[in-house]
Amino acid sequence: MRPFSTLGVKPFLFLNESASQILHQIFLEKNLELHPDRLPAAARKPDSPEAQAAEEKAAMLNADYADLKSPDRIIKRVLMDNLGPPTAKNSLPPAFAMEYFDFQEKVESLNLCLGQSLPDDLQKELLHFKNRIGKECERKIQERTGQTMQFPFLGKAESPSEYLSPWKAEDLAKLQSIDFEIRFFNQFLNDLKRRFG
Amino acid sequence: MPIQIDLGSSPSLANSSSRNENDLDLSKEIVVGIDLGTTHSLVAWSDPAGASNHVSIIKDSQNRSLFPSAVLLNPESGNLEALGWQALERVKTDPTLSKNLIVSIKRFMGRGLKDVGEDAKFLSFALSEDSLGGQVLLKSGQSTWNPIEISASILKALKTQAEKQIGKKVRRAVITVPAYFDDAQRSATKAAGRLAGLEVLRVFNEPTAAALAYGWSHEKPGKILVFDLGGGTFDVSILRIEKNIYEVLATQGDVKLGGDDFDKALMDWLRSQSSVVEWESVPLGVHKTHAEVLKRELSEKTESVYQGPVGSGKLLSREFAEGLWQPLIDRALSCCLKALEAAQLKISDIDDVILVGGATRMPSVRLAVKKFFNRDPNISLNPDEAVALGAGLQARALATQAADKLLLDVIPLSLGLETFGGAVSKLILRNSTLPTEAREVFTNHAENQTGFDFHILQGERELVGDCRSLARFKLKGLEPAPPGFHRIEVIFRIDTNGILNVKARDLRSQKSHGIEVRPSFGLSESELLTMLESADRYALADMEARQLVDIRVEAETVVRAAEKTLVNVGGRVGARERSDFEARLIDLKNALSSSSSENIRRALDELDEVGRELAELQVNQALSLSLSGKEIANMGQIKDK
Repeated sequence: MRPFSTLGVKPFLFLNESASQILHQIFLEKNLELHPDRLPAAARKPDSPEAQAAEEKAAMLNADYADLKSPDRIIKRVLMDNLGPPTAKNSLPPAFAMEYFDFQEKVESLNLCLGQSLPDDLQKELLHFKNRIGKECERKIQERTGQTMQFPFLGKAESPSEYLSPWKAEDLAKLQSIDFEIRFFNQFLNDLKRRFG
Repeated sequence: MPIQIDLGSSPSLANSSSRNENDLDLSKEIVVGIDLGTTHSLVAWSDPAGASNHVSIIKDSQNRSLFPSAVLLNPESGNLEALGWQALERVKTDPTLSKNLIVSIKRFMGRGLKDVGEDAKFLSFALSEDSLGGQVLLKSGQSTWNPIEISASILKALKTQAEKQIGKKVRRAVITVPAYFDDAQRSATKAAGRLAGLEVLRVFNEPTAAALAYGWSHEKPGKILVFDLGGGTFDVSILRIEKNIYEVLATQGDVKLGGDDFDKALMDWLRSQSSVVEWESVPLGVHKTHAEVLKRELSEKTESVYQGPVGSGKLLSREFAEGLWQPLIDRALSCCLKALEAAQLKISDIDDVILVGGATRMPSVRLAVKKFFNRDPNISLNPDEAVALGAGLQARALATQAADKLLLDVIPLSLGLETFGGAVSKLILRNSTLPTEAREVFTNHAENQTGFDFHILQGERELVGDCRSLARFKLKGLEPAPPGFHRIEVIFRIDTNGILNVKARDLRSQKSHGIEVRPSFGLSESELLTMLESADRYALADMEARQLVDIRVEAETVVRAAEKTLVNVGGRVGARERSDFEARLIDLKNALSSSSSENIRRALDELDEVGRELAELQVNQALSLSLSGKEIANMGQIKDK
């Protein structure tokens, strides 16, 4: 299961300091093995297939290592990668997609800009999507991996601040302004698009 | 041309640049390292077949390693007139030419008119904007220049100089850029290399290059901070060196902070002390040259008397100047603090602070760094040459069979996509190790929608207007289908050069999709190809122009030597020989102002013909001076030397 498999480690969510150091050593060793600069000189021409394949592998390694350093990013990745590419089997029902696009159009038609809040009816609709998607994700991860993972940001959040509940208190304090609420609402929409179209 | 697109069989930049050289074995090629600086540039090289890790800096015929990043344009035609030292010497002789002198062009690479701001003060040219690419343009006489073309002319001169010294063709290079350069600036630098006839194997961060040069001479593990204050940019990078792996932990910088700004602070003060009319009667370049001299003097002495065209005779103390410079130093130290924070380190975690860049010679900068880090900074590297040496080492590593050191660099600024409401959703966070990637899946939102638009941005701010626009993409060619049918995965990959590549594929069919790119700055691929074609078409004219530049340099050296000869031994030849020599010398000086290399060559040959006797006398005099007082037994050694 990516991102763990790329570095050859078992799934985890939090790392203590010594485990972080071990993971870092693994990351360096993998880079010594995969980095494009380690290719033989003849294969190192930027347009060679070997160089392009090495760029791809090293990019995947570095992106996966970056995700493994943050529990929040691990959750997002596990969500994304374990739900897999959307297919008829694992996608949300088409009716849901239609419902979502209707919602998205309503939001877009408001031409929301910074400083404006979402109307109450749309706030409720947003909450409905969060709950529904949160439950759906938890169920699918359980079904596919046998693991129970908590997705606090997709739980029963009442406000954008709660949507970001894994964040530190000082970060949350920054999110109190309406500008940030709009921004994280946008982020949420982006997450919806990314996962379910 | 900020973004490379790779879509299956679509031709890539690299393909087109090297299509005639696929049979070359990289391990036998000389690859040079180029420090393309704001004020000066340098080249380093090593022979792949030579001793391990032996890297040399290329020097010119006068043993100078620095090549001024200066280009002089013809006042009427706007064509290229002179480069490097020659350009500066021409302006020194005729200060009115300073308004045709381009310096600090690096500040304009990959920039739009809106970004230029205060930097416009470094040039006396009318600026405009490329209506398609958004890149700032310079208007001179009848010509309009793109900064990429100006940088390419500097790179071409460096390439020629390197070829002369090495005695072989140079086709490949590693070029350094400030770590804090964004995608557009990196791509512009790469395009300049390509226009100069170089295949750019790597766009390499300057502080990382300096760290490599440091590691070359210091082979010890630890965490180092590279404080790189160059002519026009400031970078700070924190690296962990361990088992031959150089891992950049964090980088920060300011692409509008360098030695030039210290000159500008002095200029601003001097201007405030004079009348506008008086100040503006003198070309900007002349003020800048005098301000730079004052800055250098204040680095050596605690006070200095200003000797400029306006305000001459003013006594300035270093302490007073430091007051003018303090805001600049504070900006640099603030970057250091941010870099430490990003690397999650304390000042005490840093094992060594390395100073790089000519501006770190200033005592006020050294003292500020010492106070901030509570330790003496490491000044063991030549601040001018460290970056070029590091680039040379990396060039060697890329040219030889096995790289013994591995560099893991980072992306300096986050990369994101525009989302609803003008916000930016971050895809790749800054300080992510390169190469790296992010994947996003998109679907069709409307009935029969056949494409998507994306807007890519770079920066740390949350709103589109506060980040730097890199490019707009159009994913096209989707089959008409109901909403939610298509699943298109778009992969945003940043390569080892720190340059973005985009790929798209349909997750249902696994087919690649076409993406149309509209770069926000710089050159589109077709513009770059047109320029390359023009370069081929005008290759002969370029070669002639180059010959003219070379022969002028040679003739100027001969003129100086001939004048010295006349003073030293002119009285020891007959009156006729002397007058013939003087007449041919005048002919040569006259020929120098013509634009015919043939005329200059003829005048040089004629002077040579009539000056043999004088030349012999001059050589004999020099020999007798060098041998006077020496033992006969030592003469063989002297002769060998």
